[in-house]
Amino acid sequence: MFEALSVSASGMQVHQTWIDAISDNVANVSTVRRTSQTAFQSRYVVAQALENGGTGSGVAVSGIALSSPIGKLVSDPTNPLADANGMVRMPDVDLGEQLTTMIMAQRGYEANISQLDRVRQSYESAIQMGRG
Amino acid sequence: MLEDVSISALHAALNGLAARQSAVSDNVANVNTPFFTARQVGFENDLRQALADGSDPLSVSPTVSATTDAAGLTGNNVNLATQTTLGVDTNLRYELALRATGDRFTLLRSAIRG
Repeated sequence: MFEALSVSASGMQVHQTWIDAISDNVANVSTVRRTSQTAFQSRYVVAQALENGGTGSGVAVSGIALSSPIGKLVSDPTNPLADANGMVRMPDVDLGEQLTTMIMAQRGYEANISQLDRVRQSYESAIQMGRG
Repeated sequence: MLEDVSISALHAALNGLAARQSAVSDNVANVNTPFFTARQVGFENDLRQALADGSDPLSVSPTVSATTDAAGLTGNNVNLATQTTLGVDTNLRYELALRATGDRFTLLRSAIRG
């Protein structure tokens, strides 16, 4: 009963995971590592639609893709992690891309909440039917 | 005796509208899923035909089909504005059909009470 609610819930869940991943990427935008180590890798959420042969049963996270471990080499001789040439490894996180994606994820989350509320209204009315 | 054709027709409409609302929920859930194609639900024409033919309205089952809108950059063709409007529209139609069904039962109840 009330299956349509879980469809919107799955949408909210995926967008929440997406927001979490973006937050983590932004939090690590300045994570410095030694040149001998791999850079912090941005996380990209992979969404997959769930098919049930009918109107569909929502969406799920099917995996997390990682960006390049190479990152970029930056000259920072005063950094304690710098190598003999004064270089450190920084992640290749594009802050502009992350923040615009964050807005998309937020709007997607909100759209699912609105839809959830409409479905709830319909169910509520159905429960009330026949009482008048 | 209590199952007349108008209650059956309203029941079929409620089934169709519930399926449409599920499809809208699924489309909204997949608003950012790459290569997702939005689905739509139709039942009005079949229901109209069933009523015209005098066949059982409840034999009508909603048909699910893919939308043909052009896909965007990510291969996803969900239009959030369209889906939101359709969600509101479907919700109102569902409430209307419920109201009509409820009123129909109220008539029956009045008749039973005498």
